[in-house]
Amino acid sequence: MEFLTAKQYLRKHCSSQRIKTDIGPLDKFLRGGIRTGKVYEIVGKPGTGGTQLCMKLCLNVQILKDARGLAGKALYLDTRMAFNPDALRNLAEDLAKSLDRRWQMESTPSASDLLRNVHYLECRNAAQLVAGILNCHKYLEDDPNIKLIVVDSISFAIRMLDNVFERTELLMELHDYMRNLQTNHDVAFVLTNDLGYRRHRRRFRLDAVLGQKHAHFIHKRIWFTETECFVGKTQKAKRLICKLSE
Amino acid sequence: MGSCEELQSLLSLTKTGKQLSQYHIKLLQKQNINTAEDFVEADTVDQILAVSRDTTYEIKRELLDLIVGKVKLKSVYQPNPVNYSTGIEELDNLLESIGQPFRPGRVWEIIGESDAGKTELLHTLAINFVCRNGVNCGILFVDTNSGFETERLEEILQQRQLDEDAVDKYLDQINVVKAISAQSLLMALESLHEQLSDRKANLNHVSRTKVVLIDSLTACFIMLRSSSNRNKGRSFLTELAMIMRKLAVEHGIAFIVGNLTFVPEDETDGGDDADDNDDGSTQIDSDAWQEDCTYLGDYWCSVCTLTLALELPEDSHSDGLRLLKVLSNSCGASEGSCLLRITDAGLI
Repeated sequence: MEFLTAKQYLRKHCSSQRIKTDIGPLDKFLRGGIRTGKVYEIVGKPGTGGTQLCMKLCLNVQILKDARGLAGKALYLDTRMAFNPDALRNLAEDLAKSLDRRWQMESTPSASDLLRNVHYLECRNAAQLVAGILNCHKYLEDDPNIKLIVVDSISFAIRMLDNVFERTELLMELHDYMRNLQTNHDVAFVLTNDLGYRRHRRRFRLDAVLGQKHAHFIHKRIWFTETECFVGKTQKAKRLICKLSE
Repeated sequence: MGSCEELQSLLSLTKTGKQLSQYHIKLLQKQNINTAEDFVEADTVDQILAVSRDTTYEIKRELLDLIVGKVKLKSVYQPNPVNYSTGIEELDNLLESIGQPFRPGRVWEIIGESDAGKTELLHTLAINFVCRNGVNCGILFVDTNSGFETERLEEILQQRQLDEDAVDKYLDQINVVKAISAQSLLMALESLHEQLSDRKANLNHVSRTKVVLIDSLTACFIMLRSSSNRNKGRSFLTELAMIMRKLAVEHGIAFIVGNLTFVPEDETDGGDDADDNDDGSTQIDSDAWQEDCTYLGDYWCSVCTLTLALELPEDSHSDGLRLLKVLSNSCGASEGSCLLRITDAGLI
């Protein structure tokens, strides 16, 4: 058992480097961006930019240490075949260009370097997803530079199971495993989740699926609508971060 | 040999003990049994005295009655107990009115839904505690869900217009331990107990601990909820309650435990929107649901002396407003509530 004072804890567990989301106010709210050792969740209707943000994070994690990045790699677990290599290449080219312009270093990674450092794993059903996550420790041992693991989307695979008790059981096991993984490795998890109607005191309301136990294990939940970005665990308690203007 | 005489006089007060002779008392003395406590704790009294086991049991029972009666209520309840304040004015007023101020040795529970601000409240309480009490009062934050953030503490302290040295000093008084499983939570508390009991050890940062904040028990317990693990979960809670009591009684440690609640519709289906075929008759009265779903069972309810519920107020849409309600209170009235607001400077 290790007792640390708050300052020692800060030094030990929180590297000052963050993975930027490139949404200014959101980065500010998250104190610089996504950090390792935590589980984040992105919620939104299809087409509101969840997958896009995931791919962007996979690239931003690779920004070199000199450019205030993590110089890490990313692992992308894809359950609904939403991963689009072309879109990723476009993003990578943009990033390479802007890095080049801003830092002008010789070692700045090129777009193809950026693409090479994103590992991709296809998980067609819940069993494959579980296998993928349970194998993460192997991937992390092989390549300790992996700093970000994206699961897009966790709800799609989990909800393939018919029995809700099985779902919860499986989900809790995954969370347990992810927490253990995070004690041994310095890695951030980003999950994506869907919206669904949930009955609450005889009324139906739109909320994130997978239930409240799942919500408890997530540290920050980021909501996207077409025009706005929120942070908060529940529909009711979420706070507006910014309007998305694009 | 004053203590020996005391044992003798105590023995002579009991019905069965009277029958022991002076010779018996000498035998006891030889075995270093000089006080009534020694007598009760020794296992081999019957062999030493060469009397029947039943007789010694009878004596022990009668002695115990006498010793327990001897402890005066006055020494248990000091006339002027130390009162810690929570540092949140409204909450202090509320606690005053229900006769449950924050004192050493208290075990409190704060329950609420996800995102109601339990972790935030615990952060604020940690800061308020170290700011109001001297250097010798430390906090131990037991973090089970990686919810602890030093940056947040720093932010709260900076909002209070403190200079850097003061911020540093306060941060040094707050200790953190990560415990991601039930087992490691117990181990953490046990090692805290060890460090507190070890008088010879230098006063290190852990041994100043006066308050333990646990955030949250649910994260540990949730893994022990399948039918095969159910008894393990219960035994975990019992063990936890035991070690908490031990710390509270021996060292005056106060506990504040954060716990998750669930809305009842979610309890039965394990968490999805699949409950739409379920009819309205299972609807639970909205006032009752909070108690029904604390997740840890009836046993745990009896461990804490005060249960506070943190909720989002029903009708208000104002950002960051929270309602803190008294759910149960073993020392007085269990009603009352106060409104708190989440701000950059913590909960006020």
